[in-house]
Amino acid sequence: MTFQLLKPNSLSEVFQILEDFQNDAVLLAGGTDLVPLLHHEAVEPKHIVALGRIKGLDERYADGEDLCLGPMVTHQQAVRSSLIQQYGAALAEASGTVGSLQTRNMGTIAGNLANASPSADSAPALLVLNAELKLGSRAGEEKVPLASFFQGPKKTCLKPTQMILEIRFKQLARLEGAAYVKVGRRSAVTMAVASAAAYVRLDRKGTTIEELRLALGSVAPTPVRLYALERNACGIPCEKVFQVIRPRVRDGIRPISDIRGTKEYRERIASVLAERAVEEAIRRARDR
Amino acid sequence: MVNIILEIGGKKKELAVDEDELLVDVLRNRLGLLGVKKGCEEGECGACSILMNGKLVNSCLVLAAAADGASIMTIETLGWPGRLHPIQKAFADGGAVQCGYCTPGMIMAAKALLDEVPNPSEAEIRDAIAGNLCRCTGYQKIVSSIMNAAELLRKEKAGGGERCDGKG
Repeated sequence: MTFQLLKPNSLSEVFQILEDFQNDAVLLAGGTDLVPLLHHEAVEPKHIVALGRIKGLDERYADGEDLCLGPMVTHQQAVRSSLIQQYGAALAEASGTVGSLQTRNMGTIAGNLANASPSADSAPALLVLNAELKLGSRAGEEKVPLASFFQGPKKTCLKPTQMILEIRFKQLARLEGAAYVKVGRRSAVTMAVASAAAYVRLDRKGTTIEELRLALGSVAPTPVRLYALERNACGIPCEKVFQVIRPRVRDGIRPISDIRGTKEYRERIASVLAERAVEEAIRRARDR
Repeated sequence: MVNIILEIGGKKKELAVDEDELLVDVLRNRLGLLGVKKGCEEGECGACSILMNGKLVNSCLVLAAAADGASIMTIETLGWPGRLHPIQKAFADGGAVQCGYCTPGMIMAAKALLDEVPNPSEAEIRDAIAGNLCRCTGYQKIVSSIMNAAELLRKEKAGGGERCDGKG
């Protein structure tokens, strides 16, 4: 592998590099996905753009009703962030299931999204939080809902000249809760065979679902939201919502058999995980 | 080639590395730190674990050229014969070492844990070494040795024991 390593000190330098080299340049954030690919020559870019020198890219802060994360926020920073634990616990939970401490210390959430694996842990959590991405290039900034970011396995709408500048979602309030659950081939340091994240908003009494959002990972070419199911769950009493979920999960997914699990297993486990995620989200919404 | 500076156990080392060189290879081949073991080369086994800027990382997932300016701690800078770190002592005394290949990475993972959690539970220990594979021990003696190391370190901090880590 031969490439040139560039270490820009500012975002405007990054934008210029991406403009100049387009598809010949690849961004290096935490490196947990990219470095093994480079090492095994599975990708051979001419230029690697290391983002590590640019100050302030790992900020996480509340902006009005929103929580904002910079592009270099690592999974472990999300796990440890009291802001994220309090107002976006599903994300802290999802980040906490990524790899090992070693990989969580390096791997970034934005990198996890940009890598666009169908099994990316942070994706279902951020999908149910209705996250929005700010993409930047020399031409300017653009906001994209995360739900339209993923286009296929390892494919996103990110242009060769763009990078993710910010991940933003609304902080959870009273009567709202979200959760992430996953099943892997073992209990730790494992990629998802299937995963689910749920968000619920309950009525004032805490007994009826006013809004449900459900996202699944590793059961389709991209992490997916189950919009049809979500609509059917509105206005349903909490204890009856599982009857709505169970038969409808399969309609929203397109699993395949691979090294980690079979299509049939994924079809069965997807509805189990969906139920567990919703159950936990309801519990949290009541606790808030 | 690119010139970089690494701070190894507090000492600055200037060296030239290839742009595609992994940090694990630089530590082993250019700096002779052979305690940093190479296993899977894809971040699965934890044998190459080191502390970089105080954080536990797999050195096989780091491009050395991108690590310019980092402060690095490996098993060699933690302690050495005659001046073992309490974690090293606890591993040796507790039979936590069999073939020894996972040991340096395992000890660095234990160090990262005990730096933050001086009195960990068994579950916290198992969680902290989840990224380090051992194919000999069945982990039990590693876990109990980390427990013992935690106790040694607490005693040391309370002023009871003789200080034996690399910081002198």
